[in-house]
Amino acid sequence: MRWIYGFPDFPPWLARDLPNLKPGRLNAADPPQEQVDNIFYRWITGKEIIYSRQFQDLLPMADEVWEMKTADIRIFGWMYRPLKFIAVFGDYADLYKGSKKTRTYEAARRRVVAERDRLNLDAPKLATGTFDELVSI
Amino acid sequence: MNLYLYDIGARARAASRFIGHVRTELQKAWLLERASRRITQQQVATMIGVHRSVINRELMGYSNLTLRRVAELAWALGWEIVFSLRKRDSSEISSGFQIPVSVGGYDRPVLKTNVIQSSKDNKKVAA
Repeated sequence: MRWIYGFPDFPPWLARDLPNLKPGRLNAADPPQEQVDNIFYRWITGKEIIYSRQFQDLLPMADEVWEMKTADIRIFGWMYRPLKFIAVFGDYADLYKGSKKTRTYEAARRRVVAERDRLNLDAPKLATGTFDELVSI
Repeated sequence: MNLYLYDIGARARAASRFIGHVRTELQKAWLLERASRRITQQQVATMIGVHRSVINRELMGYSNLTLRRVAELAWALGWEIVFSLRKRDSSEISSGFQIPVSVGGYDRPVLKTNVIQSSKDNKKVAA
């Protein structure tokens, strides 16, 4: 079983912003809200998660920032412990892709690191390791 | 600690999880075949008789898949489909997810579709 923890701004994004998002430049068949439901379902029930397609680390890997991925959504955060993901914020993938992108993965990575640094957590604040060590069951 | 319930509704949830399951099974089969036999999307596309871009979108999980295409993709990859329906247990939990609490009782899909490897068809694909 895996866990998802969320920063305070994350649930309001799920409730208010996500339902209004439409499939983007990839013209995915499923609405973003259903895409997120599916990845949450796979995560929490311990089903296999495919590295790079559904979950991957951002470069540089040393920062230990991870993203949960669907066709249209990115959820940025970090692994607090193996199987425990802390979601800092979610966003629309199109904002980070293509010629019309307005945001960068670099900024997302910096935001996660900054939020993690500010958070008063028992040490160690993050788990390090490979995808198989942190995510696979 | 506050809990947040992520719930998109029973109908959408049932659809998204089944579709997601089928797509992920196909992606897993594709990645395994690509790694083990070096099969390409072009080879899969040629076997099915469509353009490679069509296969790319389908294997990446962007396109809606017809039942026929699910079967064709599984065949081309050398896998076979196991499909079954069962009556839903009335006691089954049917709400959404609580974050950060993980939810048990979901891992019982109404529809179960698995793609399993077929050694016989592997030979066909490799030929």
